[in-house]
Amino acid sequence: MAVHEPSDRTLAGAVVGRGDEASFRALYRRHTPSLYPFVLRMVGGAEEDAEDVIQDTWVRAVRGLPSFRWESSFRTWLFGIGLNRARELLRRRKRQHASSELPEVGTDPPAHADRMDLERAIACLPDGYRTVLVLHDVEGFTHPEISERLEIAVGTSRSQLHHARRTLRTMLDPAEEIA
Amino acid sequence: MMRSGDHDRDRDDLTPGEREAFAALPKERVPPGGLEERVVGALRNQGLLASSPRRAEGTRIWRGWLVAAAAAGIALFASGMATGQWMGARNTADVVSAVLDGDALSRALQVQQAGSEYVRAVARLSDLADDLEVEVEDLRPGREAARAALHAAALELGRLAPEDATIQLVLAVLEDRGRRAEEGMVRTTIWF
Repeated sequence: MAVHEPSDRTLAGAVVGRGDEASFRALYRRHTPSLYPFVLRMVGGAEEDAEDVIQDTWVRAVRGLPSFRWESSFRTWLFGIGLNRARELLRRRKRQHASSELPEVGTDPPAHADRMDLERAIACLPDGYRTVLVLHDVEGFTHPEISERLEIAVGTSRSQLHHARRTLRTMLDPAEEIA
Repeated sequence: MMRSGDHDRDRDDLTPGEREAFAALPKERVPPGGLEERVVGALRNQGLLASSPRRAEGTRIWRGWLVAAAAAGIALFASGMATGQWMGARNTADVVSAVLDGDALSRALQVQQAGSEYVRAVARLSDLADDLEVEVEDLRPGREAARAALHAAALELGRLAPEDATIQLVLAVLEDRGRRAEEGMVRTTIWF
């Protein structure tokens, strides 16, 4: 017999209405398994950073639920928050790197990595390249959608993707393509 | 978040092998084990989730600490709450007169400080209740002590403002609960 699963909206209503922990846990368990790898890729594979972003994302989501109008799916809305939180973390990290004069994560792929797996190569990309590549080639967003989400020009999105793919190919194998 | 059907021409820049490699990337992954509890804890701390029932297993904490923490709150609360109610029950002229009196002013400040300290002490107790490694039984003396302090304060308030219906109602509930507790279980309240 099929078990009826409460909708996201029902669960969210219980969280907002009475702070219902069981409903929150149900939402968390439904969406975090897909949110986590997305955030992890966005932050370049740093697991502790990804956990911070996930926590921040859920806190902001629950806080913002009363004003969520359900014009998009809960998942889309949640991933949007996750994207923004991940970008904020990248900006913070960049500022820290700049002040400590350490090399920025992702700017220099390992010189000896003649071949590396795709996941690692994505993690080594510069933040801007990686953000657009993950959204476009992994998550399937179009350039206009990326442009809107990241508040950049469509041309910038295309250019970033072009450079990201070229860098990725070089990292994976100077003589071959990604596969 | 995955889109389909409307992907633009940049997709064509990828070779079939590259597309396959991207498609093979895992879209789901089991999150780290402790992350759910961490997120739930953060939400509870911010008052966005109600406290959950305690779990049965966990490490034990020192009971004496709980009792001492509760005792501090109780002592401060019991002295402070009564004065606060006294201030609240007086008319404006009395309050102005009392404020002009150094002793009354000093007691009013005590009320404010003691009340805040009591709330902080109980909040610290509640924080322990959110800790999954603390057992329910360890929290019982603190809860009993906090409740007993509340009862004692309500008695004082009843003495100060016998006409206050709210206080009388609180007293009735607490005394009824106390009678039932005595009938059904041994009290664990510790008085100071």
